[in-house]
Amino acid sequence: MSDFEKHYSELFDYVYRYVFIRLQNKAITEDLVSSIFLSALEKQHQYDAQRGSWRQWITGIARNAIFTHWKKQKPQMQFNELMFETVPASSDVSDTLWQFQTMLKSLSDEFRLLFIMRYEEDLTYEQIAAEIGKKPAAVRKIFSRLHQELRVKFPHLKTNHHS
Amino acid sequence: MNSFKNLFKLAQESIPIDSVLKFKLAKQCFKNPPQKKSLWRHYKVFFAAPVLATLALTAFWILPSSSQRVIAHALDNTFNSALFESHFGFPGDSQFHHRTIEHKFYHGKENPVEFSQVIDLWFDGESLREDNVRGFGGMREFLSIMADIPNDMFCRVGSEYRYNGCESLSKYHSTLQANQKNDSSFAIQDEEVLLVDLDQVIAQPHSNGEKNAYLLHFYTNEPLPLSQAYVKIGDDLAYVNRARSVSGDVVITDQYFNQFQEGLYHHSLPFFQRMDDIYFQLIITEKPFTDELLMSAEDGFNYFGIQNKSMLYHLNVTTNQIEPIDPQELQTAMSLPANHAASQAIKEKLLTTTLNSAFYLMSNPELLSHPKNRVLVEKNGIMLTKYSYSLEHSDKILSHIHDYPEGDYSIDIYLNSQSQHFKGYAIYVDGVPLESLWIEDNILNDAEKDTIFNPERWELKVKTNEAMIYDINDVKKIYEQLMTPLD
Repeated sequence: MSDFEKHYSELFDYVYRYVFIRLQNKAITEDLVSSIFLSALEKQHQYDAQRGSWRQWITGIARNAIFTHWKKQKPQMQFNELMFETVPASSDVSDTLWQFQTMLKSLSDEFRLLFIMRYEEDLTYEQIAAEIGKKPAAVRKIFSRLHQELRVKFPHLKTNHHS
Repeated sequence: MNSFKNLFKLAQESIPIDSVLKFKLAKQCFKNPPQKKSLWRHYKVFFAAPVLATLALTAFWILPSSSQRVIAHALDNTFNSALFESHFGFPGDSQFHHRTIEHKFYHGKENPVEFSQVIDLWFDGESLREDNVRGFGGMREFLSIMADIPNDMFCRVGSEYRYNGCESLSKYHSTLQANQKNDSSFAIQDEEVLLVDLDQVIAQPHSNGEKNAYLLHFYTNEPLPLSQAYVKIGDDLAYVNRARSVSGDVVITDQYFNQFQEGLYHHSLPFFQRMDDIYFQLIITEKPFTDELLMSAEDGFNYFGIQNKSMLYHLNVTTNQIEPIDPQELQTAMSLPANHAASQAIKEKLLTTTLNSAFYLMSNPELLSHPKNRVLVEKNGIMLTKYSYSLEHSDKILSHIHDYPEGDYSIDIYLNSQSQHFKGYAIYVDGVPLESLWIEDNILNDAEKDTIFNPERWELKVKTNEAMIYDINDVKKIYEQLMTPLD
């Protein structure tokens, strides 16, 4: 088994989930995951183990692929309407997870991107602002709106990402 | 309680894997590996922007030309934005592009001197080369830069010998980043002198009700050499010296400042912003600089004498007051958080010059759609739509920039609506051209790549003259050393 095959079998699930949770669209996820691995295959000679793990490397490729996709779809990010599906509140863990998944799915791509940057990737507002080309103050405002909505629609989801 | 972090983890783990895709993709990867297609498609995401930024920053830091810096800054400031895409960005079409940017303006009213600059950019997705020739009066300088990603190589040839040579691109990049890091705040060097003077500008032609235009004025008793001043807005260099009347002309009085500026050298710097408050520094790097510096505000002509001292001023755009910040406050300001208005200003991609206001018009063609202003013209065999506008609202800015205190200013914007490969603008006063800029983009065939990107056969794509001092053989020698694998 080649190195690439080994990495592929180890990391396919991770990459697939990494992309899917960000895009919430199966068809697009399939396209992107394919292009990510094909791209990695072509560029595998560029991988430098001293600069990080293969997982980190392909995460970078995936991240760029997602950004490129988003940029193609929406050259200008708009943070207008916050659309949430209303779901019944519950304190049950599995229900909470379901609510969380519902919330993620109902977020627009832009809001989901920000949400994930903040709570999954642990980026600061300043880092997020730099990533998306917005002002930190604007990002704070967006999160303020987001949190406000979350408190109403998903009262059992806590916005504090530290346990 | 589940934190979002935990919920993300759980949510990710619960995503069902598409095993069909996994199998099919594995088959495609391992049984029928794809042929190497256009490298551009794959490299561009990773390298195009950094290279452009690198080159832009290089030019920004190295070259003394204000116009060069404007262009470099435009590149740097916009490579990641729609503005860059529409004006300087290379389309992601896997093709080999050659872009020419020609900028001309005229300095001085009585005996105008032409400043011209031609920048040639070639980009093939892996390598970027820039040839830059500028002329001011009888002088002519050039700088040619090439970044070659696959070979990790960065080379430059300039009319000053110290620019010549090659080095590792990654090493160069890391050095650059380190330098940027060291210069990322309001830190003021011992030898630097800050001067600042603000005067709110009345209006601007491209105002859509959101943007404000300002004009920074300052005066010195002695002439201030070109390229010795720059402005910081927030954490970044926002704009490099575009002040005029700086090379020996005693300022021509105008209606605002005539009672104060007799015998003084007047410098002005227009910029636009639509943020809240702005903090800025104007720094003179000439040393020693012991001139007395004056500043003024529109309301009340509050002049301050500042002797060889750095200060930071705060413009409160709500009250239109300029408030010097004392040293204690300066310490606070120096540690401004990244989300402070000063930093926000940078993030907003400030449009700082009339050059950029024209960019703004070009990037917002919907503002140019009035039929009465639109005619078809031909230039260089290409049909363009010309939009003509009077610039009465920007007279103040333009008169300061061009040393024409009075006159009817107008601007023509040219757009090729079909392919966008040729566009430009020209500014006139009383029908006489003051400033023009053209951007042309051509797609080249692969045969030209070798010539463009091979330092061993580096030929400047410009006509050089005898006054230029450089030795291309030195570059070749260093290049060969760089390219020789270590044993």
